[in-house]
Amino acid sequence: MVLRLKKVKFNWRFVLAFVWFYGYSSIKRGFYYVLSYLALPLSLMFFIYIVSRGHLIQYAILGGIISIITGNALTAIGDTSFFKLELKLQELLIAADVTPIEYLLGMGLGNLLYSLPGLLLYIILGFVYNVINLIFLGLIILISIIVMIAATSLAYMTGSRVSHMRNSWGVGSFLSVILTMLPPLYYPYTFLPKYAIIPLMISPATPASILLQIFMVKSSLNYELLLILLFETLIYLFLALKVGKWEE
Amino acid sequence: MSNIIETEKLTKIYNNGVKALDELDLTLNSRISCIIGRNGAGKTTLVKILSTQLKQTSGNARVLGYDVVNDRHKLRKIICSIPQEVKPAGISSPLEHLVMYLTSRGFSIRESFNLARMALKEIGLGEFMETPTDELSGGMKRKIFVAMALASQADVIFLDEPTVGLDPISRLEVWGAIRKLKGNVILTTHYMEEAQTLCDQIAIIDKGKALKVGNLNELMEPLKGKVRVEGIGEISIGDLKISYLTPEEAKEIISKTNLNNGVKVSVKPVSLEDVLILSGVEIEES
Repeated sequence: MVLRLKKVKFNWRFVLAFVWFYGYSSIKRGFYYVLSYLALPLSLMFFIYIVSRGHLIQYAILGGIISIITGNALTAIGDTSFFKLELKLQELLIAADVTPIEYLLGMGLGNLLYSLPGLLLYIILGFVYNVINLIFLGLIILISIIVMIAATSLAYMTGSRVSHMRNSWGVGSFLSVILTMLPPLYYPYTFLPKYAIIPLMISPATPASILLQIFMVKSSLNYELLLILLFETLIYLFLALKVGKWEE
Repeated sequence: MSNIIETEKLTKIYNNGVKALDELDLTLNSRISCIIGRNGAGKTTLVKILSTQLKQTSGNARVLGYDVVNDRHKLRKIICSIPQEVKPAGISSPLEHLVMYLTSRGFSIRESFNLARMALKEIGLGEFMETPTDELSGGMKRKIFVAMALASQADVIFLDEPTVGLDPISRLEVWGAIRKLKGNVILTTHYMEEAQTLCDQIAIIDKGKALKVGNLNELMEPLKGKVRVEGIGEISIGDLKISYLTPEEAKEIISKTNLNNGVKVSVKPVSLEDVLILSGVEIEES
């Protein structure tokens, strides 16, 4: 009966199983959620297309991609609190020696998987409207993964500190709107005065979006913004592990 | 051989000043042991400390000889802890829950699938292993976590109030599932019938202290040959008065009581609940 399990340094198996548990099951059995996260970006795209007479459609497409990634990652605020306070999943996993980084990565990659149907739709639209080519697609995938890690870290840090479920969905919705609607996702960043860009950098969606907009217009990678995004991601990851509440 | 659990002067004081455990000394050795007590007695705090989820304020606790603080990573490999009021995620299936949990314990994905399928079949959830859990009954949902414990192959399994809130039939189903567990089980409950039915050793705790520990016969010894008389007595629980008397004493006292004054008297066999009531009274008097 006595089974001594090997010490696992980083439990990738758990991360993969959590992605399947959390991300795949949401696509398989909750496809209405996919429609629900697509509703706002698609409506905004329609609105932008009408108002700009098609001229700003490329911004609506890029904005939609970053918005889906950031918005879905930030839903982890509600999920983190729900799993912890209602389902007691966090307690179950602590006693199984899961680390916060494994949990956070499982959640982030799960959300990335869950975002794939929406991203695929936008990538197809990007090719149809000649906004995306293969090189740009590679950059979009890279940026999406970084933004997902940053936003999930932010979500975990916030969600794990929420002490009552009644606050959780509200905090999640509030942050989701603030961090995806104010940054220059659906409009050219050049519309913003410089002093407004700096505070908006608090959202990982801001450097990501500006970087993609610059690449779209100039076909060149802005390394400064990439560094800012990477630095911001590391800061959020660090804060998630330090400030986020795992063990009591 | 090490005790299954052993605590010495274990104390937990929460940040808000609540003292949940008060120098608790407790040793449990049986395959299925029960910790019973009223709500707020300290049962959940004790299980959280023993399963390495919560640090004590002072004192020591060991599970199978492993210190819960210093050896917590080793300990986590040989325990399985099912928290109180744990619920499955409605959108995921029992199989997905078990595989996720088993990989967290270090099993390979293939092993996790095999163990999960076997456990779910053994516990009677075989045909529902792919069903989203929000389509399952309350008893079935709870059995998912018992299946988790079964598949975990853990040496010590902590079940914190595994049947709370379940209807009687679901409770019986979960009891059946608990009996199938192969490791040592530490179970907390405030259902006396559950403790009487499932456990070889029972610890009564109240206000963070262990009042009595023993098997059912040992705990019931002070009440041997007695019945519980409700309606008459010096022990008050709310509006209910209780006394513990021999059947002859009960007969005599009832015959002398004026039942025309609206006093309703009933006589019942004693149970573990009465041991708990008497233990509680002892605390209030001391």
